[in-house]
Amino acid sequence: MISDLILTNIDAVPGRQIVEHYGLVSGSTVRAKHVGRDIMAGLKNIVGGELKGYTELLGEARNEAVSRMCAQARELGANAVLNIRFSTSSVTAGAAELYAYGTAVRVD
Amino acid sequence: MRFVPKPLRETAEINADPAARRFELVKLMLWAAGALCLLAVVGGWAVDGFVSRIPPEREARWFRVIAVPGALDEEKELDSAQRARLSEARTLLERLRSQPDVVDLPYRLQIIRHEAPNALAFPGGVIALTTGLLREIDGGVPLAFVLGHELGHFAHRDHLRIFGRSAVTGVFLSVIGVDSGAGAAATAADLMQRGFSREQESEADRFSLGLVEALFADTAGAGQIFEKLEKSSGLPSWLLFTATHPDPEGRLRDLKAHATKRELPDRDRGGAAGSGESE
Amino acid sequence: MADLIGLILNLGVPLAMIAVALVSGRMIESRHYRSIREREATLLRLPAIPSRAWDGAREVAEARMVTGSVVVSSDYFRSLLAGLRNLIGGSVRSFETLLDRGRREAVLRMKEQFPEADVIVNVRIETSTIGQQTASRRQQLGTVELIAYGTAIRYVGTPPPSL
Repeated sequence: MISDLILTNIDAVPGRQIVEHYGLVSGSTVRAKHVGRDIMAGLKNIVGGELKGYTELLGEARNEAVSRMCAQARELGANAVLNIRFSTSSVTAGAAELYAYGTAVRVD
Repeated sequence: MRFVPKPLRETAEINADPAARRFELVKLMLWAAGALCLLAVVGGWAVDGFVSRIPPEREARWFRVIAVPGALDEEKELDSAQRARLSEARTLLERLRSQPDVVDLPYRLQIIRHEAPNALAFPGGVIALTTGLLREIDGGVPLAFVLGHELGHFAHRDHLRIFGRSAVTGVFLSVIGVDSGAGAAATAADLMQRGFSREQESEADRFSLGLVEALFADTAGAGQIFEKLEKSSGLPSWLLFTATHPDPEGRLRDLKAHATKRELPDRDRGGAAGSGESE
Repeated sequence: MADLIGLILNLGVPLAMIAVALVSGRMIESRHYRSIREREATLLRLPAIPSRAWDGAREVAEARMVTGSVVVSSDYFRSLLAGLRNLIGGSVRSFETLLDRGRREAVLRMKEQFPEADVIVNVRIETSTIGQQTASRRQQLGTVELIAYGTAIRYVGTPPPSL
């Protein structure tokens, strides 16, 4: 997703050796929908199917969270983030939190 | 793998940016206030424009079965004086509605149980009178003035405006559902749509004066309702701005000024003015 | 008269609550952040990573699961901001601070359960909303539980940290 860093959700980068690690890095963001999306979603609730507006919203939020995590990793001098996990939760009416975390490492 | 401990400096707070948050509330409130104002103004115009195009026949058809909440079904609860007043009101209504300028609607009277004298206009031609009104007001010119006033509202389509605005406001508020401050928003909305505006009231007063003159050729005592209103509420007029019929004292003054301007015959204008100003 | 009092109450009470939440909330928050930064500096040498890999070559003296959890709640001010955000959309920064604080606190508490460890592996961090959902969905309380858990390992031969 984010250019220069290697991102995986397993313990290693296949084919590369881990030199050292720098601990936990994480990125999170809380996004709220706006009235337009809410109305469309309300209408879609009648018909059913994918709520494209919300999919888009959470997709953007996920990208933002991952880029924040990568910013932290870059500052530590890492060039890969391993074992990435995502967590989504609704924190208040109409807003969702996207959280991504992983181990920042340097691979050869 | 070897662990190299390194502290995060710049990006430590990347998930909680304190600087950006400082003005978030101000920005958001300005945005929200601006958007709401715009919506209120534009929406108000739209509603007014749409509503004034509804012709009376269609209004009559749509609102044919409207019933005022809290209306008395039968007249058993009225005493004889009130019942007499009510039948006089019916006769007056028949005479008034045949006047030119009065919009043709299936007018009908309904009674509301309420102590304070008041009269309200509802879509479809329903005029609601309170039991307090039936008790307090005198027959003849004062009663005709009150009925004519409501007919004035119908003629200017004021009642539809209020109906339209309150419906649109209700829908809008439920759609956006602002979290906290819902109480404040509801109060503001309530205030905005409370009763008719001062101007609409004065216009209706003038309309009624014309009707009363046509019927009785004399407008003595037309403003009696205002005196009754102020006396019954016991509050200074400036506090009544949130009431459904605002500022009776001011309207009394306006009424007399208007009557003078049109040189309508009003025998006890002198006496009534004295009692009005002594409040 | 009743109308006037009603008006004052309807506007005044929310404003008063906003003022209180703003002032005290900010004080509490900055104090907490200071404490968090101090403890993070102290516990920097103990990594907590989501990876499962630990040094298989070294002999393990002790290994056990450690957890840390926090329940945070939003204040009136924050909920107001979130509510306003619902009109326009975008990121709700006030909640981001709250959750960031909570999470860092949870991870610190997890580390403090076993500070002599050398590494904490397979760390997972979970978020869940608790608190009553009243009938009106707009009145959600914004109470969040954050939990961090992992397996702490202490190798043989590591000198105990001098505190």
